[in-house]
Amino acid sequence: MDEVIKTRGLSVSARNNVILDSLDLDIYRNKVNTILGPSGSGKSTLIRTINRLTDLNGDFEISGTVYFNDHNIQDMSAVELRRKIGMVFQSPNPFWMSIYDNVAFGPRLHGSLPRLKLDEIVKRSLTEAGLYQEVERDLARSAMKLSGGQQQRMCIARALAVEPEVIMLDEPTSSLDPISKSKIEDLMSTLKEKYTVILVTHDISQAARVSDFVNFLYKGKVLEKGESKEMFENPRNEITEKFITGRAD
Amino acid sequence: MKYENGAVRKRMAFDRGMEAIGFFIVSLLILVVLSIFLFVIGNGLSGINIKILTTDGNTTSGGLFNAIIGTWLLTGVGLTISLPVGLFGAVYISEYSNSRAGSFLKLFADLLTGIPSIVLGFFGYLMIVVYLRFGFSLLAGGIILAIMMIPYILRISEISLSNIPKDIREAAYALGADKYKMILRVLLSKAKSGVIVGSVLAVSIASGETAQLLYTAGWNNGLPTGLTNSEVGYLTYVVWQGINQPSAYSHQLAFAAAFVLLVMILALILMSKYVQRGK
Amino acid sequence: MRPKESATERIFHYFNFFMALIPISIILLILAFLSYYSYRAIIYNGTNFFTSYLWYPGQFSRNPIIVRGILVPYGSSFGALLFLIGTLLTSLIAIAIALPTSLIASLTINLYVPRRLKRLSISMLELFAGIPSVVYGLWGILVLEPLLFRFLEPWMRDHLAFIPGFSGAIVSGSGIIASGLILSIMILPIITSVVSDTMSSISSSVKDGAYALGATRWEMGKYILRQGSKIQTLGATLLGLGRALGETMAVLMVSGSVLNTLPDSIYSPINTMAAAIASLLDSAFIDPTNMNVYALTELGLLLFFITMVVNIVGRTIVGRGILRGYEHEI
Repeated sequence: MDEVIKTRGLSVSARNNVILDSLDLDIYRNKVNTILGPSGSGKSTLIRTINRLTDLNGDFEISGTVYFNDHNIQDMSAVELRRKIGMVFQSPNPFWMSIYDNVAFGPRLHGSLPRLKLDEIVKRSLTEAGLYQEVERDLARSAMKLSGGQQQRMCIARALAVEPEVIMLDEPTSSLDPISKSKIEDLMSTLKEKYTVILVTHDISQAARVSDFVNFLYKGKVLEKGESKEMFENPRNEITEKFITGRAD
Repeated sequence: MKYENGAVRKRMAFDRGMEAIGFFIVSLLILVVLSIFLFVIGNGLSGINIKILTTDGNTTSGGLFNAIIGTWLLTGVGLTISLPVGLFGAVYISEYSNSRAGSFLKLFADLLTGIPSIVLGFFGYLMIVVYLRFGFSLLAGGIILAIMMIPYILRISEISLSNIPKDIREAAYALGADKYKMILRVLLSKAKSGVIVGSVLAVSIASGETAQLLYTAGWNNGLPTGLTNSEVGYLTYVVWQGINQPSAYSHQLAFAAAFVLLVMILALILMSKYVQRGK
Repeated sequence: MRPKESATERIFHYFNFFMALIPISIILLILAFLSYYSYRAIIYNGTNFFTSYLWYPGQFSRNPIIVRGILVPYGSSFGALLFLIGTLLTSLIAIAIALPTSLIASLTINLYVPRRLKRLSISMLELFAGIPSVVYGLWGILVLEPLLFRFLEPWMRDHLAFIPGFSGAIVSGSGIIASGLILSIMILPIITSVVSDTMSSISSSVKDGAYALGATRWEMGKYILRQGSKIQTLGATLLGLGRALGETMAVLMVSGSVLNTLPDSIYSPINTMAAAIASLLDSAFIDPTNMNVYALTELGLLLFFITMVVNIVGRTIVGRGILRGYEHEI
């Protein structure tokens, strides 16, 4: 099996509170890798450690290693790392510019491209995010005017526009209506053909619907990991079982 | 796979370059502000003594006693007038008016800080000194200072009042209190520290004003003898006049006056911070 | 469940209403007094007020004459062009220096300064707002002017003479540059506090969004913080402009208070509307026809009108009022 990201003995604490406790995780290429766990289990911190957004906040103390394609991420520049590992946030966070400029934001940072090439990237990204047909005529409109679900798909397109290898989705549907939610869930199975997907969620049925691999995170520890089907049918850990059957406290 | 490329290195170098420029500019600004303080403190400290602080003067000879007391009297009159206006204006905006009328009234209160100081002073001369026949006086200067102090007190009081949670009002009503009793007994005591901060801030700014007072307070080599038709001296006038005169002693007086002013203003600013922390 | 209104309650209500109306009443009162005292000057001066730069009080020893039905001192002329130019020029220089400086300071505080030093550096910059005008004037006369006269202005003349207005005689340190610089320092805390407050109120999820795409700190600041605070920056700049247009004492002390001579270069002495009122009013009182006072009132009315318009627009844009940079401390 081909691991894109590996964490080895990864521990994170902030102001003497342990958030993640020596995690050994594997993220597999071209799969939907789900980090499942109740809120407060450290899911968001985990993915923010992977793309080093934690660097921006002096409070985090990190030990252990994260490997991206067998390189220690601390040896890479954060800028380059974040370009290779895209991220979509819990609630849509469009920038106050047009849809086009939002999607072109990343490519423009990483090099000056001719307009035609940029048009192509914007079109490809929006298509991959399943939004192109809806906004084809409105690319110059402010992204703030889109609906919540459209905004979130635009944010996915924005992350795809820099051609990352991995895309991390941090509870991407938690603020959306059921229809938008199912659109984004459908999207994940197409996205994994080209990208490696990391999905963070506390929604068990969502995890069961879309995941290939599941890592169950509880109070900063991975209690169980494995193939999705296996875990949902035969959880080995008692707490995992309680959680996925809805009996967790 | 190659993770560091030239373009990224260049962008990160640019980022660090801007960081360096930014730190340079912020440090330079802090250096300028500190150098202004040190300039006044250094020159003021060497010229100041008990005699200067305790004798009356006329900006070229004598001391600063009349100017110090005059500044206190003027800002005192200003506070006496502006405090009720600011406080109860804030009560109206926060407790009685709807939000549209409230923001309209607040806009005009804010505009008072935007009136050019000399225009305010000129208006004071035309209306209070001449039309109301108060003459150059404590009351004329005090009223004009009050006008520029109102917005500081009103805005901060209004914010403190509207920050008080709704349930505190409901609780007072539930006990059967009238609205005015609820406001006077419950809300004002809750908003007290905000009102104090606003007042201290207003006094600190008013005590540094000059142009408002040139044609309303005038100048007095001694202390004023009444509220109207008796001129008042003040510290900022000594700074302005003293530095424009050639004698070394008037320069010394100007620096001593600037020193006393800055110490007063710094003390007031620190006081307002202390009240804020303590609440 | 509202308690019933008693008489005391009604009186209290009206009392508060009356207090809340005082600010707007004062502004109307100022407008009324300035208009009343300036209408004779407006009739006498006509367009001369805007087209001439000559300001002559007239000869009080000779009999006053009647012009357009108004009694005026013999030989008087009240052209405010020099003051208008001076006010505009010094304020624009102040904005040109203070705006970029404030933007860089705000970006630095929000992007680079470690969090525990953020409060301290903001407090230090706020100290600028606590310094009285006359102290700025004092510092301007004794520190800034000699520096300008000996170093900066000769350097500018030698190296920047190709820019129009940058070549000319350097008479003293006081004048356009000194006034513009002092004003820029005075409005810096106004702009910086609004802009840096707005920048730090921008949602961290948007900031992280830019970082997650691989933006450097500067790129995040440039595209997210600066764009996101654009409108507030404009409003704050207008508030700063309002302050610069009306600032009196500091400019009076470092401008050179010139009369009847237009500047021929950036090193020339200058005069502004506010400084002219302050310096000319004293001698205007001895005019038996009062026309000198009326003419200065006209100047005051114009200045009042301009600053009020600039402030109303600025305040409305900023959305909520600021108190010379103290707002966020509340």
